[in-house]
Amino acid sequence: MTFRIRKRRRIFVELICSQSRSSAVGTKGNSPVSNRLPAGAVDCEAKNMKENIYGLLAEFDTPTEMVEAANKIREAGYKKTDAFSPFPLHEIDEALGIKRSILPFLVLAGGVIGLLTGLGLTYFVHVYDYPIIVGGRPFFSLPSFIPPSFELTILFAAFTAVFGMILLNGLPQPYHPVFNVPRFALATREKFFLLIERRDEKFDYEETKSFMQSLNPQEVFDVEE
Amino acid sequence: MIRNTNFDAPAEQINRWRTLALGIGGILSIVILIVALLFPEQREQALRSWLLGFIFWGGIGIGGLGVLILQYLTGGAWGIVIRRVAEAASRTLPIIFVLFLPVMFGITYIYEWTHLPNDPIVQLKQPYLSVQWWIIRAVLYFILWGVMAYLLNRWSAAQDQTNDADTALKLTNDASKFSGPTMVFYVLVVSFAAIDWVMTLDPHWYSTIWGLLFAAGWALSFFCFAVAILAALSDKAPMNRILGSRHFHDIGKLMLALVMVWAYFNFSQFLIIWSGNLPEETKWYLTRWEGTWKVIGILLIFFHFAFPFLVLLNRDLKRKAKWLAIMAIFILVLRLVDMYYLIGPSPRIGMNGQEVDFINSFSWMDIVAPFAVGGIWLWWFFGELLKRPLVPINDPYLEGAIEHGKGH
Amino acid sequence: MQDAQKLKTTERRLRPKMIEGEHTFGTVSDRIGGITLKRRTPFGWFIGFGIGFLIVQVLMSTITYLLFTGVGVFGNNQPVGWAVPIINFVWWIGIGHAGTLISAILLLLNQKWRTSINRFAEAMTLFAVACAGLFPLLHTGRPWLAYWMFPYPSTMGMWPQFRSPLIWDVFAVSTYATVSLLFWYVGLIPDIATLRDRAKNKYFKIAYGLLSMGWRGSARHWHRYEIAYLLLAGLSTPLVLSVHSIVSLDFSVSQVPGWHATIFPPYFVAGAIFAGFAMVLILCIPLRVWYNLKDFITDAHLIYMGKVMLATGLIVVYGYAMELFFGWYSATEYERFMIYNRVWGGPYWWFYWLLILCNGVSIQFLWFKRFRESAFWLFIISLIVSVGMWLERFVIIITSLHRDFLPSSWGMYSPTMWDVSMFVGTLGLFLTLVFLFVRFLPVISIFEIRTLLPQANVHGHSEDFEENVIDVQDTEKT
Repeated sequence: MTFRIRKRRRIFVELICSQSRSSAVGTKGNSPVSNRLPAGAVDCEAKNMKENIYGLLAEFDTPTEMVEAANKIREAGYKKTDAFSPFPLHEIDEALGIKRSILPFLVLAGGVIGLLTGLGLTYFVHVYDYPIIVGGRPFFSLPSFIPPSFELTILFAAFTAVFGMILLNGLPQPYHPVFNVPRFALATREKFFLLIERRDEKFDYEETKSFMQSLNPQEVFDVEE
Repeated sequence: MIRNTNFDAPAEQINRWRTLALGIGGILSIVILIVALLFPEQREQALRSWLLGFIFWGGIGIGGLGVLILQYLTGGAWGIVIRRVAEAASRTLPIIFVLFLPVMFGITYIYEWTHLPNDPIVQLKQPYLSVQWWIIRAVLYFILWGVMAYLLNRWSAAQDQTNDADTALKLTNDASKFSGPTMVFYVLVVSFAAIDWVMTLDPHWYSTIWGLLFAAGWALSFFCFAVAILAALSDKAPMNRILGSRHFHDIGKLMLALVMVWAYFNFSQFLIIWSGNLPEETKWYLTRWEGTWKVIGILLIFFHFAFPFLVLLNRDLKRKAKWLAIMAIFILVLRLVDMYYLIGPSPRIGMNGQEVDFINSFSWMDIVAPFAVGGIWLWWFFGELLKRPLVPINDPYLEGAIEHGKGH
Repeated sequence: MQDAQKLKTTERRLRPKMIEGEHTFGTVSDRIGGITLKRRTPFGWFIGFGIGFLIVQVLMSTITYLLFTGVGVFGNNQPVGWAVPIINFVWWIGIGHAGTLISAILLLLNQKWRTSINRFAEAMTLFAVACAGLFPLLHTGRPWLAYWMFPYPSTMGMWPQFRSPLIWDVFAVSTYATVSLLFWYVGLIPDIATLRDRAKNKYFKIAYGLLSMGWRGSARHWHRYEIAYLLLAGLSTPLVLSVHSIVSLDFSVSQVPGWHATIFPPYFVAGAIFAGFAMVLILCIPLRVWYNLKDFITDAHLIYMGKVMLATGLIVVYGYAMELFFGWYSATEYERFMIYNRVWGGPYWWFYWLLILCNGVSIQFLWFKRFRESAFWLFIISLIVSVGMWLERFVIIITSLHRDFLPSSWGMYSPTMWDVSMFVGTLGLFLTLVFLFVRFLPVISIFEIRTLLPQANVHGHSEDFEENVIDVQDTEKT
């Protein structure tokens, strides 16, 4: 780890695009990535393998294989798991036991706050703070206040949806240990990955690794911190 | 496989409904008829109440024709499971015409403009607001609707008979091709029918959005009606093998969309007239902004829009046939209230231009007449529903559509 | 067996495949991502961008002259106080509507064909709204005081007038621009992550890395992502309807004959979608040829868009018909005069007939397969419709204003060269932004295209995106 950081001149750049090492590989598909790393790095990884490991990552070729494997992982009792795919897969939610997000309720709350803001603002402005007759209409011209209130409802709800999603997902997060696996760059292209984290109660390096091997993946990688 | 299955409607059940409908409709119609014949001073009220029932139930039938055309255009599984209900509704046009006859013959009792030869505004509209032209136009509307309904129904019946996949496909394609231009005419005819039958109740008032308001409103009425019928059939053979929760979900979404469209059109109309503040337009709303009319108007905002909107947002509710049907019937009742809100406060001949307030306008017949018209209409409708299998058995999409209903 | 084969082909014809050719997740990513990641920029791009950029200079000169001289440089004058600037504003904002319609409404309707065109339709929305926004901003003459339009506690103690449709417009258009931007950005995040992992150029890597926020395709992220995306679609649908409705209220809440009509909101919305689809076609017909994207933007897509154009165009024509009928039926002197003046009696009558020709007659060709299935004719009709929609606003705004209630204040309108150069300038701005977008961001949503591939199914489950496949399999069994 230290070795690699020393080699980097631009830590910032690396944090932003942490998987840059592997990026050139992606378009080629199956070229053996690890060959491209400096030999020292591989040695270093080998020595510290168990101390700084974040988890184990298994690579699959098709979504079906991954979902089947994910079902087995859940049945085996692993909780701190995750899956990575280049597009959303509805089946994986069930397979990993992902609970339905609270986001819709947050958005509803955002919308209600927006509506109240709109109505409150227009009421405050035209009835309380600066009442003035314009166009012969009453101070409290509710029909006229509906369009701006509606727009604010939508605006607040949309903000909640987007920023709620981003924050609940813990983004922006430029660095994540999975990016240390060079082939993980393919997760945004065509490959499917399953992760079991070390934090999991059932995690045991040897045992978990052989369990993951048994799921018939393309390969199982160690993910370093 | 699917061709050998029996998809006929459950005759016993439907015949029971049919008898019940005819019983209620027949008796109540006779009551209204007696009142209209024996009490001349009640005749205007009886006919106006009849008009209310006619616009509501006729709207469901004509809306069914519109949905029939629409589903050929859009495709989709909901269109296939709803098609036979829509076809049966479109084949009620003959009875709708019969139910229209009292309105046609009672035109001088219902429409104030028939008594205002010296009114300057009515004079300017003379070519349009004349009894002969009004009747000719009405007959023309029925002829045009009749042609649309006849052709679509004939092709669909031919499809049931055929054994050839190519012919079956060709018939669906023909119907789709026919539906494109037909939709244009359908909306135009509905617009002018709505203008003739409802808007001219107040001969001075006008609103450009009126036709769309009715085209969308009648489609909503039909969707609600169809959901009620499908839900009632969903636990009996053959529909229990066909209908899935996703079908109801899809139709529920359409109901939600149309509830929103209803609110959108009405609010647009209100906001523009309220802001423009022109005397020739605001009068219509001013009458409806008094006393009990105002209460009904506010009721409509909450129960024709806000409440169904919030309830129909719920995904799980839309997927349960029974709950969606309860909501659909609730909206249907409010559709009737909405029609009453449009028809009830309009000027009356007997009142010589006085403001029409709720107390001396509302009559027991406003409640009885919709039941009378509805009973007769439903009797005919159920008869038509029995005539054909409940799904288009040879439609190339049928299997896909059944499969679709079982999905998430 | 033969029967099954026949049914299978008919299924294919009835529900055309949305992706042509043999593709895998990888080739999809490369084909679309490659447009931006290619090291050499094609020469044609420089030509297109250069032309756009030159025209932007026209816009810049106009704005400079306008700011130094004042709004008098435009031809607006009594009685035509609203003229070409607001025509252009409405024209541009209308064009923007197709983007949100495609991305939101068609998503809710579960229409697969939106996937190939939603990305650049959304981009087009943003650029069109940007062009539109320039007109109200600059017609004030003092754009640096534009913040006065927003409600904030000022030392002057003044507030915006919420009873005025123009303030509704400020809220509607700014909300629309913001939500469209968010929608577009959210859709882009996974694709930018794809580009980040493919890019070789260091600066691109940093830029894409920053923009993708560390997206890694985690299942938990996708779960919230999809919910957020659907919710945004649900919110954008009423929003897009409200925006052009409010634009129409700018006119219809007044009392000017020709403006004050209750059908205006839905009629304007239909017109906006109509114009928007025309612009999407104008952009994507050349795009799919130049960038070899015919596998993703297939002929089926063009046909669908042609049909939407026909449907919305017919609603617009319905609006014209209702305007004519109610102009007469209202029995109001002013309304009847307005129709007379607009259609045959006034000096601008030929604009009306040109409009009918462009919007009413030209689209009737779309009834015929021959025209709907020919990219060339679709392109021509789209161009005609774009002109027609501009004329529609001309007829509504200028023809209605130039004959006021008082004959003494009747007059004619003539635009100045600055009116023209401002409009042409925004066309250049639009073009420039489109070229920049095509160069730096994926023009088609890569991750959504992946979901359309048959490989994307998880076997033993039935899900939305499988429908195409299931149908064919079922007919094979029978």
